[in-house]
Amino acid sequence: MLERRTPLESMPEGLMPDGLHLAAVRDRGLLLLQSASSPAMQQALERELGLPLPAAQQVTALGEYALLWLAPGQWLLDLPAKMTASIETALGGRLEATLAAVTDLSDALISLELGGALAPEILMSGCSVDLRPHAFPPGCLARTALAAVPAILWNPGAPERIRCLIECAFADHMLSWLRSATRR
Amino acid sequence: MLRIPCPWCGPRDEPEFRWGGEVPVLRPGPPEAVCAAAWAEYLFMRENPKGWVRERWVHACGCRQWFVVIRNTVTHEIRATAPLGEPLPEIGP
Repeated sequence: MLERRTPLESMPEGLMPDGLHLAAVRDRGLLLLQSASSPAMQQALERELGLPLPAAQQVTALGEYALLWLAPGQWLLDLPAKMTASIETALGGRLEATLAAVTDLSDALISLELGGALAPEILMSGCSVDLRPHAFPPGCLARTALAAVPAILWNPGAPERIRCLIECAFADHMLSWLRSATRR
Repeated sequence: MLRIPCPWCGPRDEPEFRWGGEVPVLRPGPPEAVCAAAWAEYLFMRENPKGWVRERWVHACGCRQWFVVIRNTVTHEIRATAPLGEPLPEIGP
C-alpha cells in the first residue's frame, strides 16, 4: 500500500510570532455524507456512532469523531484515519436503501489548526466572519472565503483553537497567506 | 460591496456569491413548437427594472446553495432572501 502524503509534510511545526501556533492536523480521515433524507442519515449515524446530526453552522463531537454541518443534506465526518474505510463501508451499508452517498474526501481537503489568543484576529483579516470567542464558541462552524479560497472554519472546543479545512491544492497559498497575515 | 444574507450561512460579502439572473424566467416548450421570437424572449429579454428586482444568487464559496433575493437595483438594499421554491414577500413599490 502507498504511504499517505500531504502537501503539509514540509510545513514547519511550532510557534509563530505572538504566541501563535500553527499545526497540520494529521492522521484524520474525512467522509462526506449526503442524504436526501435527514432522518435516514440521523438514524444511520446514531446506530453506527451514536452521533446526532448538527444544526446548521454547528458541529457535534463525540470522542474521536466530529460531525460538521456543510449545507442542507450534507455533512462532513472528521474521524481517525485508520477508521475511515470501515466506517465508510458500515455507513454505506446502513444507507443502502435510501438516496444517500458516503464519499471519502480524506485526500481532497487538508486540516490546519491555528491556536493562540490572536488566532481569530489573524483569520478575520482574510474573511468576513466574526471569529472572536464570544461570537464563535465551541461547536460553531462557518463556511466562507478565507484569503479568497473556500474554507470551512470550526471551533473544536479546545481553548483558543480554530480549525480550518481547505482544498488540498490551496495548501501552499494558505500557508504563505498565514505567514504574511501573522507578520502584519 | 453588498452584504448578502445567505439563508443557511448568514450574512457574507458579495465576492462569496455568484449572480444567477432575474426570476422567474420560464423555459418555453416543447422545443419543436417554440418560434424564434419566443426563444429570443426567453434567452435575451429581461425586465431590468430600476428599483426592486427578484433574482437568483448562489453561495459559491459557502454552502453552494441557490436562493432568491429581493434587491433594490438603485439602493442595493436587500429586503428578503429565501430558498428556491419557498414563498417570498411580493415586490413592493
